Amino acid sequence: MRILIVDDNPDDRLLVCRELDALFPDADVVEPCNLAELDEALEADALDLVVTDLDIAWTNGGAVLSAVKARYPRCPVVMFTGTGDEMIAVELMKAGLDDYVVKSSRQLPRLRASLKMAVEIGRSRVALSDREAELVAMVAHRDTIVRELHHRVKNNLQTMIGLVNYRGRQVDAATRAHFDEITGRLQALGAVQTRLYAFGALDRIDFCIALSDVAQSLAEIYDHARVVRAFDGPLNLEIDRAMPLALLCYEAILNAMKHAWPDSAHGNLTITVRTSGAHPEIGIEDDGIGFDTGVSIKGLGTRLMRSLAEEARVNVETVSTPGKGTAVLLRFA
Amino acid sequence: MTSSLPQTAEAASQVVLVVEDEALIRMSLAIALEDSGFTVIEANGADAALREFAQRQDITIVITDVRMPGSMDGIGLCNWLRDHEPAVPFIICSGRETLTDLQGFHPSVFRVAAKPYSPDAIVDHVRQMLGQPDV
Repeated sequence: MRILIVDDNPDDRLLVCRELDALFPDADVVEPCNLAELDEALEADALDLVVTDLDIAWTNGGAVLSAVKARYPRCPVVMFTGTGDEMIAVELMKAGLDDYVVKSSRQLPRLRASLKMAVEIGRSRVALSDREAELVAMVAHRDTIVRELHHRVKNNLQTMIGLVNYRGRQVDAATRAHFDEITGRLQALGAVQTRLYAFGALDRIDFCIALSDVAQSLAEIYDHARVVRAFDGPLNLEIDRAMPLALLCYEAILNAMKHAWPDSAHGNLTITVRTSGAHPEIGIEDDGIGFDTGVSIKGLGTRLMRSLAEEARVNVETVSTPGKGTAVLLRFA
Repeated sequence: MTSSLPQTAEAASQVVLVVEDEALIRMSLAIALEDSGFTVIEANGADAALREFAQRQDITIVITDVRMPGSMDGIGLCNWLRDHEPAVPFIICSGRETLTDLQGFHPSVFRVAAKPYSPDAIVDHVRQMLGQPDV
């Protein structure tokens, strides 16, 4: 333990030394008598406590406080002075002084308690900043793991897409189309995953951006449809909802791309996100041939959409009239 | 969609260097490109890619991943291409967050394909960048 006493009055130094000796008998006490010795003492090693006077022949308490705090910000500093007043004390406390004890017979009993408390404060500061450094390191480590995990998930999805695509090259065109649907679904999952990481918060996402990615990847495959996006604001969604919703939107857009315009006739697909109402709403509307909603459609797509809607907690309403297009509305429950 | 395309002499003369450390991803992309008639050479990282460039002069386009082990990552490889092979265009496969690292590049020489991508989409990118019509 290393303690510095800065005071030009040897009697006062002795007084402080006695108190310190009672508290910390093994402490190494340094008593500089000029600026050079003070600098040397500050340079030599870290300090556990500094006790300084305010008015010193060769410096002043404020300068000592600044010099100590500049080098050892966690080191406690106690001012032990016969001069000064409350105003000065307040100013110095603002500058980082830990305690202010007046050299008077009335306050003298307080000195030992003050020195003891200051050292304890110093030790808690050290413990606290060590803990803080540990936490910073833990957060950095967590970020590394999350980054690696994110990279792994994306690459695993990419591997699956690659393998499905590879197998799809060895089958006939009709079967191949089924394989392409699978890779499309994997890509929709990938879009949410990518946006999740880019969004910063790992449990939420601006769904509009992921929806754009999903629509874009389908528009690249089915280029006969012009995709129009009308989003009235960000749609901040938790991940357990965003994942099934992305797949649901994928199915709805895929249905439109595949069935709305037979023989690859050109058409418009409008994707809207309305967040202004009490419950957000996503619309996927095409101007294609439409169908009779009275006829029940069975198949994986329909069943998939029902399950996904349940998981995403949205109600799906399909409005379609033969010849007048189809609108799929996803209303948040 | 690009399955079972006839090999064209024009495509076969185009040599695509696929740089990806994960073998299955690299393989599936290479097969999709080969199916579309391109000649494909593979490298499992930027270091291997540089060795290919040292050995041959016919590489027409590079497709590279970003995060790869070795002395250089995908961004480093793109920087190297800009400095040593400025005429060779490249496709960088990563999230869009990579875009900020590519600000010194002219948009005409590179494209970004977000992972996970469809190999067919990459084939389309290659065709477009090499001025071939979509099939």
